Amino acid sequence: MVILKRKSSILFVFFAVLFCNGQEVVKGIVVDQNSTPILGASIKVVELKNKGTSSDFDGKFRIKLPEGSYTLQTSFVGYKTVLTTINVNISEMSFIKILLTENVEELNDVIVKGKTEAQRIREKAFEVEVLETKELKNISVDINSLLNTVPGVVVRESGGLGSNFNFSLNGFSGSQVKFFIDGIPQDNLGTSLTFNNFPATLIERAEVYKGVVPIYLGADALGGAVNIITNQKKKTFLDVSYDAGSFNTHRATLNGSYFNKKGLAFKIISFYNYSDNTYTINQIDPKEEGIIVRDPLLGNPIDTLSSVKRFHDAYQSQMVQARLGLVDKTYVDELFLGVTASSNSNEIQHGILPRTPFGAVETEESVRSGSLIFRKDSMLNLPVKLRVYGELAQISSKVIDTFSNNYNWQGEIVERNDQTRGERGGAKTLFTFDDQRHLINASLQHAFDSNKKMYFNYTKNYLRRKGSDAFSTLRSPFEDPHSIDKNIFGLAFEVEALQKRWETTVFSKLFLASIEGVIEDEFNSNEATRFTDYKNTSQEWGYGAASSFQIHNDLKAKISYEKTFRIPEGYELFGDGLLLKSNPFLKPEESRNINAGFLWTPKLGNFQVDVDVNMFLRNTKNLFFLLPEGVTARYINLAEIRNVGIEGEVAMEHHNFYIAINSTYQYVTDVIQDARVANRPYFFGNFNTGYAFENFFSKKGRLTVSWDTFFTEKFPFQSFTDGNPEDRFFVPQQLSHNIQLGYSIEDKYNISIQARNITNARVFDNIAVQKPGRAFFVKLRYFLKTTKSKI
Amino acid sequence: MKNLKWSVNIIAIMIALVTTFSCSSDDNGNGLDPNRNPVANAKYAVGFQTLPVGQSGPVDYMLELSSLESLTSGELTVEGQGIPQTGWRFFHQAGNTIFTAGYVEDRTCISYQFDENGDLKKVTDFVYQTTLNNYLAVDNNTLLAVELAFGVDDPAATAIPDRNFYLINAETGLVEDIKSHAVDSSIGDGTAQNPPYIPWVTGMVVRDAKLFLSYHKYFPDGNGNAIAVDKAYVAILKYPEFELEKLIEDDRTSSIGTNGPSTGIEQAENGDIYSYSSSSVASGVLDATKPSGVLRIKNGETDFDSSYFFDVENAPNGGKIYWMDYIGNGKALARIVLDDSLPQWAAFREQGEQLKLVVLDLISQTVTNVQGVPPHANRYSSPTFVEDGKAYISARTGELLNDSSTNVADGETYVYIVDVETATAVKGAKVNGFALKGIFKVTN
Repeated sequence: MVILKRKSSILFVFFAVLFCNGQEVVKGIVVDQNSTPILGASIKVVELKNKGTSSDFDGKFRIKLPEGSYTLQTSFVGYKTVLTTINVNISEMSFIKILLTENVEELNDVIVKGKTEAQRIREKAFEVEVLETKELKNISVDINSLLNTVPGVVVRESGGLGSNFNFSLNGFSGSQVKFFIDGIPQDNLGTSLTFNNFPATLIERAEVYKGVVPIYLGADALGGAVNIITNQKKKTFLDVSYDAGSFNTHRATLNGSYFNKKGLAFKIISFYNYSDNTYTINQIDPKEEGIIVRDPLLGNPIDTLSSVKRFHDAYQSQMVQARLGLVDKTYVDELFLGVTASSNSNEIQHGILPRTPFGAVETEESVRSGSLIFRKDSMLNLPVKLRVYGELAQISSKVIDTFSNNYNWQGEIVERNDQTRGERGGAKTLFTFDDQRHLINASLQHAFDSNKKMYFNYTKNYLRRKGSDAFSTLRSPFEDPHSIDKNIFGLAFEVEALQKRWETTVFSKLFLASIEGVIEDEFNSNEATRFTDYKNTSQEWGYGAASSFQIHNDLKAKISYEKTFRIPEGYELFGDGLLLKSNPFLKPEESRNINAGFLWTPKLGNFQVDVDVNMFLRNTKNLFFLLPEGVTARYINLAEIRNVGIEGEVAMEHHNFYIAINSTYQYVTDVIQDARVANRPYFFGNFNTGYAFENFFSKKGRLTVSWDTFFTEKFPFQSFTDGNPEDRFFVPQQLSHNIQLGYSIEDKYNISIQARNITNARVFDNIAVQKPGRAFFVKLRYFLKTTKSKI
Repeated sequence: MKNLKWSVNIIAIMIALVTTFSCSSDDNGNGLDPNRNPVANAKYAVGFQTLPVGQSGPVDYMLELSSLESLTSGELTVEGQGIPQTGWRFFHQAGNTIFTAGYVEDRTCISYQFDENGDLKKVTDFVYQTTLNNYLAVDNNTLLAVELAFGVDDPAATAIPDRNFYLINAETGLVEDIKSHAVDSSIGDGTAQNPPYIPWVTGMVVRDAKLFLSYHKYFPDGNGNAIAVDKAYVAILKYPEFELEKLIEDDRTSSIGTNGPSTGIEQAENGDIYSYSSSSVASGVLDATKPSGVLRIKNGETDFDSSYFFDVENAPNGGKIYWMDYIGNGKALARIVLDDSLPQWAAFREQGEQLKLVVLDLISQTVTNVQGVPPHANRYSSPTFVEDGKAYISARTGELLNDSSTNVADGETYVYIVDVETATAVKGAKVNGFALKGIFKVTN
């Protein structure tokens, strides 16, 4: 990597001569084997005492030396120290590149003391949780299940693999929380790319930002954001896995990269998921035990079965993403062209309540997209990093409900006299959304010096939706297309002071949204007034700050605040063209989010302890409420909610043993009515422990055993106070345990067995919707990486 | 193979049915007990709709009252009491049983009775195919309910499916029979002049072994809009045979009834049948040009009384009717839309001041404002509860729920006890919720 071009070298020399009075400025860069700049490497001049410097955030350094010959001693923790001889001579100045190679022996020692990327992010001023998947790649687990272990997060599922889920973060859910992959917003991409589709094997880590979201995640996130990071290392590797288990579940992943010496790069990520989800359930009613058998003609109860198996719940999804490009060129640090294709099909077993099942309703979705990534780490020799991402995506989602009869829970067809309606009771449908998403994300980073940085981010997220129904001769929802154009600008300053003990970021975000649509009045025969153009624009300024202070070596305090918004979705504003009516006056939802907490990382005896406590306050207003109106309904800004809570985690680690426990308590109130909001878990947590036996069976073998427990306290479905306590509906207390056993040889060959819900407990996330009981999974994984590294 | 399995199942179910029924009649101790004093054992219950909390909609409760006084003073609340229901529900009574039936997805009708200890308890439930939209307590033994779901956009459809009428045993809470009948449906011929429609029943009366049904002709696109609204329609079926006897229509007013209430057509003490036509956009009826008013079918007749039309819209104190319910002595209570320039369905909003309460004297054809009830809002209601000649209704006042921010905590709901003879009302109990969807008296 040549940073300095010839012309500027000459210029540089010229200035050096002008200003340096016989002293020459030596300039260079410290990099690792992957040409990644090393920050903070120490460079000492062996010949001159007290002469030295350290590399900056771009790995660069400069040092003033009189003419002569010198030896530079460059060292960095985890790397072998390098001696470089230089000649300082006014007539032949050159740019010095110092290559450090990893010191494997030292690195093994260092790992405990050194900070992983996850730790580094966690110690940022933002309230963020980081999950590394290193130890989890061998287990049959998807990202949603991983995120479910984060304090403040509850993932409420309505079934097995691929089922609908509600991701809730500090009480926010739905589109109030935004999802990203490598910083790219994933909203509106449908259900084939949601995180329950991604096995943990495919990613390196997940970051969960609570309430206060850094600007590089450009979205109208009202209550936080989740960003998952895929493998970013410039290393050639191949990672394949396959797992199989209960309910005819099969999953496979392929993850690989190839980098050649000329800077050509190819990356691929792919997954396949399938499950019949034929697990046993014991109730379909919030109150009544067993499955009621009904008279097929009259609907009266005639018998009760103690259990049935779900019979129409299969899920399949697949995705492949390939990227081809160049890395580490003089003109670009990263340039990739990518294509993604994904699809899924999902059998729907029942509606919100499982009292009456479906046997034929299905949904199908697909996404096709093309993307471009451009990254340049140094612009015009300034400490400026630029990254641009562009994407065009087509999303199609279809609901299939064309079956003329009903099903009962025994899986039998119940005939109806009315053969014109679909199984869900409405019109038969092959309803399809056709969405187009255009996305641009540009981020710029400028370092004034190693303590002051500025960030700028721009995200354009444009969505155009059109609905059609191949089956219907009449009107379809969203038949009149609508578009949402969100433009989000973010600007942030990051300052570190007091020997980096104090770190503060202040930021502002500008949300510009323009939502356009046409609403057709079918009953109006006057062409001039038949179509009404609607346009809703909003301009909101959000702002916030995050600050952390290292009180003591082991203790860090953090505080963060953000005022933020969520722009309405198209259907919330325009309705669906049928019974959901438009409200063009809908304002964005608005929230003020505060976090205050501390990180305490003492060493107690042999144990490295990690205590992370956060208190949060969320004041949200203008929340959308679905107002019924005759047979129709529309969204209005109505609700105002406050959520106050505390979440904490204690983790202890010693050698090959770890134990961690975390818990969250939150109290959600409707501020206007001073009533506690029901149907949200308010007290939950989990517990994990594990041990690794090194050199097991063979010298290179490693056996791991781990245990996870999940707990959610019983919570009321409708109200904390209303109704006779005996008659109230509750989602019962949830307690389930998973055990994993894994064996790896050199990290290359891996096999694991997982037993989920080992006590076969009846667990519910939603009222009356039972989740899978005991289940077993076996996973095989092969991981190959080249020992040779590209330079 | 499938068919064989199917028939085996039906036989099995038949056997099970017979056994269940024969067993249940023995141990059904909460039915009518002739030894009980009906007045002494009078019990009251209400269908209670709470305010929405957070982003969740209101919750319906079945709430037992300690006495009638609970409606006349104090506060009514479901805090710590009442049986919660899932989803939005209809509340109707037949005999000593109160039925609550869910809407669209929640296709379950639950029945409640007072047990020997005087506690309101669930008896049983049954499931239906879509939504039971209109109800009639035929007598103390039978609740009649009809499914109206309209979703005829199957391009292959060559006919409109029949409506399903459920005959529900008011003692057991179970379905005894389902009758299907087209009532008045048309697939149309694809032209605007002759569009398809389904009958949307707005009221039912059984008189002289005939079932009278008032209805709108709904365009079957799922939008809830009627065609040809400038006529009133009534179908007359033989009951309980469900055979069409006659379709009658009248062009002096618009289609009868509104979506939701079951009182579009009702019978007076002398056997005369009265119906109301709304003609109001805010009540959901688009494009009506005929005045809102009341028609009559005289006792013994099967045609509209051509000598009778009560033009409520143009009468002094009148206006467009949102809802009417016959109380007695030739008098009915009605809600008049105060501002029909509101958008379609706005009269149904659960908070606002868009309606006024009036007494309609159906004989002298006069409209009298009820003194003591302010302009208010109220959505669906079960047939009005009347005791000692007084009608008990719930009404909510407050700022109209609107597209822009409105506060539901600013509104107030009260029970009003209306003396229909004098057209005066007194404010009764405060309701700590949106509305009472129904008030019920059980005398077992």
